[in-house]
Amino acid sequence: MRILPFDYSVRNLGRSPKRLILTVLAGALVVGLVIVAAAFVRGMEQSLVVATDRSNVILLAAGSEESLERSQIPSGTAGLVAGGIGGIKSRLGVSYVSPEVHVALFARPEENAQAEWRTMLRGVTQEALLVYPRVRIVEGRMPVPGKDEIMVGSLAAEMMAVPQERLNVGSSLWFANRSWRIVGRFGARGTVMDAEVWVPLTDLQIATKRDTLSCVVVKLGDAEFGDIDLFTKQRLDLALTATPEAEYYASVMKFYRPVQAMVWITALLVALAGLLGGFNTMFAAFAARIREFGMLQSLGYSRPAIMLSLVQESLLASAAGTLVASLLALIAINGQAVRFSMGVFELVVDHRVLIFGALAGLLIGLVGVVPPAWRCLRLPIPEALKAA
Amino acid sequence: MRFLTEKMAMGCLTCLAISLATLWPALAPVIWAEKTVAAGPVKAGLPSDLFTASAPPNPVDVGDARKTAVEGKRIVVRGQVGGLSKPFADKYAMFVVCDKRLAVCPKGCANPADFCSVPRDQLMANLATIQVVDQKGVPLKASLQGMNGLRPMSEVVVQGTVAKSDNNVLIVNAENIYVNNKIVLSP
Repeated sequence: MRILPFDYSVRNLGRSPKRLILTVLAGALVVGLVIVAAAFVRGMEQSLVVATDRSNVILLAAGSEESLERSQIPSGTAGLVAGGIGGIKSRLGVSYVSPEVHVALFARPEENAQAEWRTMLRGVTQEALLVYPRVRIVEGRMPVPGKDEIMVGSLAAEMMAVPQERLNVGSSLWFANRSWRIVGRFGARGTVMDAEVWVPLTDLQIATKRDTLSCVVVKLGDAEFGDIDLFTKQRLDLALTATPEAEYYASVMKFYRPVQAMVWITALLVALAGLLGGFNTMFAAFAARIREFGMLQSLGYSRPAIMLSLVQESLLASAAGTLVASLLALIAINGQAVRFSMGVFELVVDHRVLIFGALAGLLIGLVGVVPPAWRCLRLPIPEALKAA
Repeated sequence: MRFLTEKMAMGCLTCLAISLATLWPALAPVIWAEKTVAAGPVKAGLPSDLFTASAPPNPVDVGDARKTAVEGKRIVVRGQVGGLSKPFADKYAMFVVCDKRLAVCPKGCANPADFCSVPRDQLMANLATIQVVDQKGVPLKASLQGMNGLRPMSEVVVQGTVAKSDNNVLIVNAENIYVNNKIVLSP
């Protein structure tokens, strides 16, 4: 089969610069939307699944497996776990066991302020820094019990929808009927903790009038998950259930599957609308070239060869649009914070998302040209040569 | 290069549909067949006579056993596997049973084995832990789930020795387990 030269396709693109720019921009828009959808899903997965620690096990109340905020376990559970299970990671006699309280509250700038900011609070001890190595104190220090001090995550401002300066070290928040001074900031990139406010465990228990814990998080050393599970089943009186941290957040992810599905469906519908509009545009463009196609066939080029040339043109245009969309996504979308009920996550535009966007662009370039080109190439040569 | 014409595409789809319709009566029973319970070989490390074909005599329900069990004494306890969302231990020969007189969750419950409709205090008072241990009293490393038809909500009769019994827990070291495969208590 004789194939048309590649530069024929390239030169044809330049025939109408305005049409080329519009085609590239339209492709960029559609691919950009697909990239945003993929970045949303990837960011949520990264925050809830990928960034979890595979060696952490959460012990929470039996029956509250789906929500740490609802879980209540005895306050002495951490000590029982540390003493009753061998093989938990430890260093210099300190077990990697973190007792925690998880509470969602509304904070205010001061006592009589009207504004209310949704805040995810986590009551912790010093052992939390052992159990969560991703947490890094970037400014200030860890809060000290008994002094109404707190430490905020780097995305806590996005969670509360306030300017970053509002949560600088030295400023304060009002919740649980008292003022709390911010003495530190921490980062836990890519995890739900990044949007939290950490409070000394005993202070939070007193402030929320509870003597129970939400959970105990344990880091495995030589022990396996089965050993922790064994403990919970031998101590049924504690009414505990053990779940790997990754599994807990994966089950939470299931709640957001409908949201992810909606995002994908929206992206798909917009892409479909773009594609169908593209069909129209392409048909109009090709209709003006029917005589050219007839001439090429009379010169000995087969229909498949002409189709291949048209596909090359379309792929070049869509590839340019994909490139524009990818650059814009990396600059403008990557790292943008999105608030949801559990906290905040960042949109992630990584190599997977970009490859997905590139594939989507190529697919659009391929699918968008075949039907209109086929309609135009179906005509017999004499009719094509007579076309206006 | 040949194009797949519309007519060829329709023809392929039609052939596929006819093939599926023809083969479906043969495929359906294979796909939808209920799994039958077969008493397979016992896992390595577990006693070969662990599962019995008949129930040990004079069983006591879990709720009554919680009140009368004495540490170190032999016991025959009857119950149903459940009381927790995952009643089987991960990788160890241990499971949790509850009194079969407890109310089963209503129809449509995602996990009836957790008995979430029973008040927590009542449930806690009617639970027992069944474990298969070695000579040192350490639970064996072999999951019992699926063995001899043992699964959540199975009715079981366990003969063994009381390892621990107080106001809070009842733990039985099982020597024989009978699984009543005719009955799976479900809503």
